Amino acid sequence: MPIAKHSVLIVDDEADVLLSLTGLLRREFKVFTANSGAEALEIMNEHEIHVVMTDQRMPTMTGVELMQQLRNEHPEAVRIVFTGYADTRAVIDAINNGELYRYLTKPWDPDDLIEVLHQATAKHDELVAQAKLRNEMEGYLNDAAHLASQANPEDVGAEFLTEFNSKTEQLQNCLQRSGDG
Amino acid sequence: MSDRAPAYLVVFVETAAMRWHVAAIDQAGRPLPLLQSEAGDLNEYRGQPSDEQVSFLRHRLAGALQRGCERLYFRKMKAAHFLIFVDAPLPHTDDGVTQRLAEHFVQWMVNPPATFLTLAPPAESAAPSAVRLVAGELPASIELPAPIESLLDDAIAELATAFDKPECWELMVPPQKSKD
Repeated sequence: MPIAKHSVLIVDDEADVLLSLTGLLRREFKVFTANSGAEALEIMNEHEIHVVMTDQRMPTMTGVELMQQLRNEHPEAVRIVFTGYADTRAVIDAINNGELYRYLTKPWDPDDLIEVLHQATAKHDELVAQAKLRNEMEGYLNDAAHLASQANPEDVGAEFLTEFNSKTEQLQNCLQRSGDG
Repeated sequence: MSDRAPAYLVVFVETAAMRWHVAAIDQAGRPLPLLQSEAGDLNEYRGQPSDEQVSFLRHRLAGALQRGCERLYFRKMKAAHFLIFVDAPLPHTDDGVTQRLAEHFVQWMVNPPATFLTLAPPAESAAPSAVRLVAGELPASIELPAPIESLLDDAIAELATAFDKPECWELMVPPQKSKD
């Protein structure tokens, strides 16, 4: 059975860049394109997008502004900004605020770009797996705590039960903290 | 290690037409025209403060380099060095803009490195080479059949004969909306 391609959304107001990147990436990724931040948001709402890669310098909505919005609305999508000019203040702020996975500068080597996108899709899968783990672990630990509360200490051993409850509580606390980020 | 053939990627700014051309020079020293902008593509920086001019030009020329890298990729080639030429100091700018732009590219482009060059004015046409360094160093990263200065002279002269032959180039049309 063929492995489904990861989906990548490219955002740039320059049509030839979208065309060229589509040609470069379509063999390895399912490529979507948008010529503005507004169109990108529409596509994100209609399709499952794993990685978003946007130009910083666009009229109306900059790449960083788009990423700030996506971070809230589609946190599972891995976010990459690229730009050809070195006014990096906004991009540095975005990286420090956790809004970006990578910042790329033009010109990039096409082989390097493909590699970065493979790393980004792997990061996406990792984030999704972590979210699933958190969701399922929460129910599992609640079940474990419930079972332990029903258990007879004489059957399983009082010391074991105390230790089990303590470990369960520690894991629930860890889970709570891991979801805070 | 890449199995792509290394090449020099050249961006040449033709100041009289305010446009740019992108070409490759292969290992045999042959120039290969790739892309050109429309005449007047660089007009947008006229009348801007010098900081804005540098910002506009580095963005526009970085985009030209980017497109060139992608065209090389589809030809099984890879940029080993960027060569950015202006045929004369950039018009409608303060004196320092060309130098600042040159230093930006040389400092910003590391892998592969960049060299910013200009051509000697016609009064110096008797000089051994028309190529003048503005920033960076001449490359020595790929095997070439002749000294680099001689090769660049020949390659640029050959490319210049093709500037007004649209059939040799892929024309880049600018975006409809101006970028802020």
